[in-house]
Amino acid sequence: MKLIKIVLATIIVTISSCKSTQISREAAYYDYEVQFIRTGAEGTELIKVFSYGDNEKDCIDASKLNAIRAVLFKGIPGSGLLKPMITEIGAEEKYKNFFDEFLKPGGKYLNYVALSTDGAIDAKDRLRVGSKLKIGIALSIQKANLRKELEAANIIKTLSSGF
Amino acid sequence: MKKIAILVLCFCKLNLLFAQGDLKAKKPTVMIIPSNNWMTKNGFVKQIENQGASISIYDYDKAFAENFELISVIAKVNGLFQDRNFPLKTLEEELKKINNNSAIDDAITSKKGSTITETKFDKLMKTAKADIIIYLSWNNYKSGISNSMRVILDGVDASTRKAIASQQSISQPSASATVDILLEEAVLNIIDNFNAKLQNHFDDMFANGREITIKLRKFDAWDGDFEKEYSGKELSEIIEDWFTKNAVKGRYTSTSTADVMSIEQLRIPIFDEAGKPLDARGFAQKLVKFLRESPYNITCKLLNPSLGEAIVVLGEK
Repeated sequence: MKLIKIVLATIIVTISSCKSTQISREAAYYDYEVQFIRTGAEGTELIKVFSYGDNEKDCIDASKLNAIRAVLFKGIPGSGLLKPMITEIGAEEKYKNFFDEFLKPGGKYLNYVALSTDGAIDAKDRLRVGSKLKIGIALSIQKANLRKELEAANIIKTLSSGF
Repeated sequence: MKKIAILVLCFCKLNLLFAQGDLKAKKPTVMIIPSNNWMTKNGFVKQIENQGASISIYDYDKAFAENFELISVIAKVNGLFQDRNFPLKTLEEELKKINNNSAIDDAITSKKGSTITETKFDKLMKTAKADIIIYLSWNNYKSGISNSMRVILDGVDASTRKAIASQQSISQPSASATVDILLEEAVLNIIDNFNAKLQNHFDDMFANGREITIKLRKFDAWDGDFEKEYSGKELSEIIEDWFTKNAVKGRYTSTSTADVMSIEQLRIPIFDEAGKPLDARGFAQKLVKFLRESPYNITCKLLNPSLGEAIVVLGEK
């Protein structure tokens, strides 16, 4: 009986933890705010991303993913990437295999985003919203290299495409 | 036998389709030059009197020789375009090439002492040209001990004179950064958005055809004009019908008088029926052939100042 209880408890804990991870990634997709800081060294853009999570690590991980998603699909107001890097409508679905792989946890997207200011979080950028933590973190995006990766994968065109 | 012939035909058609997939459109040349406003503000302009009218002559050679910031910012923009696989023509090198070519042309003589012929039009065409010109301007703003730079990039289609991309940015104020560093910062701020607009222009070109201008003129020795009638239709109307039939989706605007016709905002296919890349000259050649045939039998001279502009002069070669 004790063994059954332990097994059941393990299953419940496992399921609930899986669910929370999934929600966290879905939330990472849509609930975030992006602020332009400044254009950095050549080929980079500095932005601040506010994301939600259960703890600081969740928030930072979500922010990295959200930063890349913002550059790819939304654009960043006030920055040098006013328009998204991918302007083709429905590109995310069209190149689903690529993006599933590219944006998966620990995926290649992490090569193009890095913590800026050593990952220090300003006290005013750390908020508690309901049961969630909301953190704003400065990130550096390697936009030139990211563009080259997408050009190599034939997802976006080079300026000289067709000529 | 019939089936084999059909199969061979299908095979040939497929080959043609695949071959066309590899074809490339004629690539527009892009050149960055300092704007007239910047040239005037920095004293690289001379005023000359021409038949009572004052004309500004911009001294680009002098500007490149004397202004380091100009070289620095143009080199920066060129480098950023190279990163995007789209190297620009440089005005400084074009000017050197023109001077060099003129010296070579002057030196060429045949054994009998003949020299190279050059019409006034040829001489006029010996200037630095590009299909897309990016005008560059900047201005320094001082606030106390801090400086900041406003940079403007203005892309214009040289043949249609339409603005195709325009961006401006101001660098962060700084008390220690040099002018060229501030300029670099301002250029980096705008280059991606500028290139995005340039890409939109190219996308539009591939989707709706290349936009060109064709000017039709007549030699004074020719006894006809654009109002001459053929089977009850004026020549201008016949030419307009030809453009309606041959332009992409029949898109163009025209203005005409008895002696002059201008076809503007004309959209032409990127490739012709044979899959050959098409520009204003190639398209105008088709019109020249059409006018040469019966019942019109008009001899035409074709001039081609740029990828997007052609001049057809009716009456003689």
